[in-house]
Amino acid sequence: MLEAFWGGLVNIFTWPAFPLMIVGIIVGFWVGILPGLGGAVTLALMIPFIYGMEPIAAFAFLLGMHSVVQTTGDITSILFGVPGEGTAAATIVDGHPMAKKGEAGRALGAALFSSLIGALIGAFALAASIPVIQPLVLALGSPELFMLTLLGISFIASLSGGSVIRGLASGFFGFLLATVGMSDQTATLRYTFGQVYLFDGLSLVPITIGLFAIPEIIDLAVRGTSIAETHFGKLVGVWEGVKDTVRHWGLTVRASLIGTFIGLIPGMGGSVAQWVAYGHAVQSSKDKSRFGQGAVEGVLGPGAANNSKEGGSLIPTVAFGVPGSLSTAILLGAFLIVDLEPGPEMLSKHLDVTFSMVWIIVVANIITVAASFVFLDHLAKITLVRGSLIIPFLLLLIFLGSFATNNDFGDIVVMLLFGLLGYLMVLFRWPRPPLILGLVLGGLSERYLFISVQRYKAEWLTFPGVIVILLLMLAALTYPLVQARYARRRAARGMVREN
Amino acid sequence: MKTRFPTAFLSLLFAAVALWAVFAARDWPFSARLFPWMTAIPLMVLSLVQLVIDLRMSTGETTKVMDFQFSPGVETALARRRTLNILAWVFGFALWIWLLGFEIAIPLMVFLYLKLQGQEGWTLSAVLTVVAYVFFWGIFDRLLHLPMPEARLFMWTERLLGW
Repeated sequence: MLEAFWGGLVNIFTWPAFPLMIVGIIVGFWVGILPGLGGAVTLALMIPFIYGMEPIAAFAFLLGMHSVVQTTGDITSILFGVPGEGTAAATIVDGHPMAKKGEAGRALGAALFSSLIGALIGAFALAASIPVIQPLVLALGSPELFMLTLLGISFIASLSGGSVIRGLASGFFGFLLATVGMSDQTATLRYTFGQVYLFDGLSLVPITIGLFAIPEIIDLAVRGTSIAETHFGKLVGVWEGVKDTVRHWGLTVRASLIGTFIGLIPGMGGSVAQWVAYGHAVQSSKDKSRFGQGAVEGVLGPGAANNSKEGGSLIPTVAFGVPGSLSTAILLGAFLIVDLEPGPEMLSKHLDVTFSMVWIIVVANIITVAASFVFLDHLAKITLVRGSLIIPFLLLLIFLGSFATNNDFGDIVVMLLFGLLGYLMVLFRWPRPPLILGLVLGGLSERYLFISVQRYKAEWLTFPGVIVILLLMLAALTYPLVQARYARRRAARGMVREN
Repeated sequence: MKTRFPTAFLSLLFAAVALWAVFAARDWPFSARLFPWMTAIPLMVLSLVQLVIDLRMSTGETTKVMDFQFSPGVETALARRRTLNILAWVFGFALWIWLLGFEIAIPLMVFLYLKLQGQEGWTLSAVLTVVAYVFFWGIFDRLLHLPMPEARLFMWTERLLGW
């Protein structure tokens, strides 16, 4: 294992992995700074570029890009009060007031350095978890692996919003989409309408691009503004922010651990991690009245948690094929494109690739934070770019990205159709992550179900592992209902008291 | 009570798709229809339950979703107009690619969008158009050697003229 650990580090410094990681970092850098263009969307846009790449080069590019988005997202949040990323919203609460008070440099120093610490702790958690989960994953058979795919959908469905039914339906629709094309078992053509284009099934890339990029482009066009309307002066006090991180090292480490743990729970996502970490920062402070007015601890907590959750969310993704977040759900598609199957093989045959992922997070964040400190003043100015200048380039990327999948115009049509569906889903508040997860896991899920039924008939339903996962699923699905009921009761009690 | 048909539209759509999926799979071998039925039947049931919930929900009531949400603060009529506008650009671009091919559609779309929609200056529009074309040509043509689709308009013209 130690050999794979160091091998993973060496791998990322080989050609073409390292230059690709640098390209990924540069893309992620800008994406993080630009509000309105999320990390998940950019992952979707960049996936077509990994066709033909070796797994390590592909992950160096994608993960290098994704792991720095959160880091630079804080820059926009602090300077303009506009979250560079949805996951950087909590940084605004105290970061932006610090900027207004003339402490923008200090806030940025604190956010960047705590982000680095968070990323390192998250990556360490991913590396440390491998020896622990390896025997567990290798002991799982097809019935348990099939149930895990359902568990992934259940987690994402239950935690992606107020309506579990919508989440589950969205996930099952994704599963259904995965059945389009020729059946692996019987060579039956399913839902193809006699179209040769559909014989190989629906491609993941145009669907992901349509579903995620089109609604964001529409939103950018509807807002019709430049990204940030406020100008700022020269940034000073960055080093003071770094010192703050060291001064409050206990909080930084605890917030990082919170982020890692939340990332580990499939479906929880970064939005949750940042707010829980912010809550902890407030709770653990002696003087709570400073929060919201520009307390540096309010920047350190979310900054660290945002980055540490990335390592955490990769643990279930790599080990079980159950993504910990929307981005890792899209990243799961990348596994399939480079012919890797998440699960047991990632912890045995491809262990070096898994360790490379750990190192990519570490190295990419070190490079990003160092570059951010050097170019901070210039970087922040990018947020003044008008939306109308970005949109044509986004359109270019979505069309070329979709077409490049199979060199078929059909992929563009699929991208447009799913773009409309994505727009309607956002408009009518249907969660999209379960759909994409269903599509990604559909093929695996069907194969595991087929093997289970062929080998054990219906007997597999009584296996202890299957029953345990089923109970976990039920718990995941009923939890939001219990929580909502509890919240209603509390609200009712509050109303009675007021009366 | 007002009904909320627009919100219920997706529930209805998913239920209809699931019903059709179950029906279309009825004659397939067991192994081929096992997974489609295992997914389409729950999808149909869940969508119908959601449809009832949607139709009974009072107008203005919304569901919280942990996913991207459209930015608030833009007046509804303006938002609708801008949405239709950007959709027209998106679908128009697809049509241009189909008719003219990527090589012509890309500079045309980038330039027209910047000039007409973004109301940018001639120089900036021209420079960014060149940047977009060089990006396309450098990465997708020279680096990835992506075979581009033939422009339909030119194909038809060639056929018409008998070339």
